[in-house]
Amino acid sequence: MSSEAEYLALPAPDRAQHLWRYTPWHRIHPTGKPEEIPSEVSPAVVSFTLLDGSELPKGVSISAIDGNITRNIDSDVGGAFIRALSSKGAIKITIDDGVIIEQPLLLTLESTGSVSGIQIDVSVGANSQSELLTLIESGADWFGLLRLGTINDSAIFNDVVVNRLGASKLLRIEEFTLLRDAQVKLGTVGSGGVQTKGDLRYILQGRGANLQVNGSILSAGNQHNDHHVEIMHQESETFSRLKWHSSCGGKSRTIGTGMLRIAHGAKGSDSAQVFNNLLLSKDAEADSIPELEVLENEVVGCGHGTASGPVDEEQLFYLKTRGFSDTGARGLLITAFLNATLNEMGSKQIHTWLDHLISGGLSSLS
Amino acid sequence: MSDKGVVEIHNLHVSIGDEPILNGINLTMKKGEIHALMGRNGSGKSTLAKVLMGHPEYEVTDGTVTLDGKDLLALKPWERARLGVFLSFQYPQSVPGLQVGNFLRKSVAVIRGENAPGARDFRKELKDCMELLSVDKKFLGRYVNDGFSGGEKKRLEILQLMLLKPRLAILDETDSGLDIDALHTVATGINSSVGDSACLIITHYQRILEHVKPTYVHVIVDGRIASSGGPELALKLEDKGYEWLEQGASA
Repeated sequence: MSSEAEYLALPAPDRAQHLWRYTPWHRIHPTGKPEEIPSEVSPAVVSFTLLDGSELPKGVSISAIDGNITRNIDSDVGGAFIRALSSKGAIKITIDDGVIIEQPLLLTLESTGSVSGIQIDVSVGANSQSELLTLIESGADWFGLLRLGTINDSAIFNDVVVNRLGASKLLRIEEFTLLRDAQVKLGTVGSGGVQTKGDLRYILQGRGANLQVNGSILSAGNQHNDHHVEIMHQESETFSRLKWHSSCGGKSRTIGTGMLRIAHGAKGSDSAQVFNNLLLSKDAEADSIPELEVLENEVVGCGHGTASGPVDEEQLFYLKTRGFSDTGARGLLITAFLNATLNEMGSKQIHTWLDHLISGGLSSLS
Repeated sequence: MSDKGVVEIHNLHVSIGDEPILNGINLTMKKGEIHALMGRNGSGKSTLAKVLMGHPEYEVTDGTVTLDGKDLLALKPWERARLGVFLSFQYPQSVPGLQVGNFLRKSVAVIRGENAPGARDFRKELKDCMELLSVDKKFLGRYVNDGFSGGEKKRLEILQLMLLKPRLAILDETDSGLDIDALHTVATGINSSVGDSACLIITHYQRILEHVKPTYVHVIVDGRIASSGGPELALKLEDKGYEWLEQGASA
């Protein structure tokens, strides 16, 4: 069956699921008609270097691959749609076993044309140490990104995806599998795009796997940012933390839904998820729904929480007493709120770069 | 410096909603003077501190406050800070995500303006102040007051006092929650900062006044200064409590 036929054979997703409750499939679909697959699809322009622009080091490679990459998930409408669009646009990024890279890798994806999409297979070698910063840049009206990855035994891997789209829609579908003792930090920074739908799934498949997922979402104007994060503990002694901070200004809306699943037999698992929302205007809206599904009794912990509110007046007063103007104090608090997760995403090099990016976006908030 | 006080508070009345809290405070503080303000809980000490800083919760219903002749009450909190008013909070706010080093650098830049030191001089000044307060370098990488002990919070407040070099320093129960060693360290920081400023120390205890010698001691009762004197007044309060003053005030 062709990838187009596979997509068309799938039923419309059920809005009873949190994944599709707040952004139904037709709303993120490029034409709004789920039965359509656009015929005019432009490939993304890919650039892959070190953060300073220099060439890739030995042990890191990028190559085109034939065919599609697939998630092992039932009724994966988003993934199937991107596969149907981009069957000739799949690439593989490989970081070899044992490679240690001091400087972050920079993968830039520039969407082109009206509709654009890409599939990326990421393979991170055992005992390697690396950081990957992926920038999604403006261009197309609609961009689909499908990423799958395997983080092999004892690899240390920091991964940050930054949405810098303009007035575009983004469908981001991904799944990463962590093997034994892999230590992974996955970050999402959203400051662009008019509408974003993320379906992010992480599987702790190896004993001792350690995962931190952080989100810093800066919403303004009429932006709609909807991220669904699922973390599945399938093995014993696995650890995960999900921390998601969204600041919402203007008439924007942010949604964060989380699902922590601890499988039967995943003894000693330790997991927690927190969603915090900073509401910057009376018209902004934030919804957070953390969920748990625990099938194992012997866990270290499994907690969840969410909090939403405006800028704290006493914090504002404190900063004003230190000479910061009304707008300066407010901006500093918003930056700090986003920094609390941004700081956790990777090395100082990445953080400095991201901090600059977020500070530039603050002027759009009101 | 003229004879005019750095700070002149005249007939200050303050309310929260319909509840009057300060009922006619009169106080003049000059450069280099340390004024200790004592009184029972709820007598209006912290209210005075917050009103001088411009906290929006309080309404000034009468009176005037000037700093170097300028009308302080007409200014926003950040304008007061840039004019030279500093409040060391009793319970400083935590700001997760804002690193201490970054916060201090930016705050010094906006408050000291043209007189702010360059990057190299700032680092040296900061290092010297931190050494005086026995503050570890790692402090700078932590988030402002986030997860700080009580003593660490007070040290950070005094570190800011030293770096911001205010004209009027208001220290609201800076001594509370400090052990003997920390109290001594914090007092050293205060003493090193007083030279060019007027200092109002709000406290319940004589203890800090053994380390920071007050020029005057005032006692506030029911929102008014009921008695003023020299350092001996604090010793008398330590010995006799507040009752004798309250009886006098009600009479």
